[in-house]
Amino acid sequence: MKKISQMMEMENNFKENNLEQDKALVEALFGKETLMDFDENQMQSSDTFFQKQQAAILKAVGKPKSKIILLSNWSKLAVAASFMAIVVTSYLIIQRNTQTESVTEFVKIEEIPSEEIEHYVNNNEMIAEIDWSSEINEEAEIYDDVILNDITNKDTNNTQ
Amino acid sequence: MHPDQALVIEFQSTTHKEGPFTQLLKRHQQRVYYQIKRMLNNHMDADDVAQQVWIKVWNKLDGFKMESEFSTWLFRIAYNETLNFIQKQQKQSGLNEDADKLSYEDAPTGSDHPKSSQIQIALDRAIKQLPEKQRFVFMLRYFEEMNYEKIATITGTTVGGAKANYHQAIKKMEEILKQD
Repeated sequence: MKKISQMMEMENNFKENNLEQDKALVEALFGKETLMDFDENQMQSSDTFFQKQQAAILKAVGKPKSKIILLSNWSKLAVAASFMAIVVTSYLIIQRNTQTESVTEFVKIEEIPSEEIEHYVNNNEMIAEIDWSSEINEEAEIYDDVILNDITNKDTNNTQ
Repeated sequence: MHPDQALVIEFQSTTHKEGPFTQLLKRHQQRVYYQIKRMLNNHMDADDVAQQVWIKVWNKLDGFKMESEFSTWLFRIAYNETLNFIQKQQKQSGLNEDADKLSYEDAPTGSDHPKSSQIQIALDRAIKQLPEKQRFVFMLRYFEEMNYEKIATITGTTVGGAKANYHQAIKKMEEILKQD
């Protein structure tokens, strides 16, 4: 037992000596104090910094991981189609609303000044003439038919 | 049982993980931060990297198989995160030729630093010119007083490799000191 403990002690001493030897190599170049100062410069952080860092880490790990979902080709198409559908539907709704806004106002004919009516008739004379002539012709035809019927009726009565 | 081991087991076996995690954080927070700060020599950057390290610990601790000590595993994460940060910085600034010096650009090298002397300036210069791995090994050995087995696990090398890194670092610093 003694031998084992002695061996362990020797091994530890050897390791420590190794460390001391390694440290001595660099201390011989720059001096122990210089190396200590270098490390002190790195260690100028307050306790509040570590508390803040701890809080930041715990906050970061407490958040649920956001998963990135990679879309398949079909899913991409579906997303694109629904986007297009939204765009088209909203366009149609906007169009419909603008149409309803421009409603034609109806005005009673009594309210229109006669000058405006005359002006309209004069400007649309051709149409008016065509309409009138066609109506005259129709009426004349009807009139002719009536007269002819009367004549034929009279003729038949006379023969009887 | 080592207190870290008990806390890791508690973390892995409970749904209320914040308790054991906070304990682990309190036990190792300062050592991790100071090691990163020695590497980067910048408070804000060291704070950011240290936070990333602990977030990684939270995410990976369930899968930690305790094949090494918790502190070894933790410092390995810190080593990887620090090196990643330095590499990102180098890419962003595009100063690849000054790769080894970059993270030490703002090191206090002027006489206006409160504690600066010629020898301190020389030490700062020497440290900033070391390659990252040698610098990390040097810091762990000299300031954290870690054994080479642990350093080898942290830096992903052999014991012989870790020893070589330490001695190469000192040799390089000696050369730089002679140049000055």
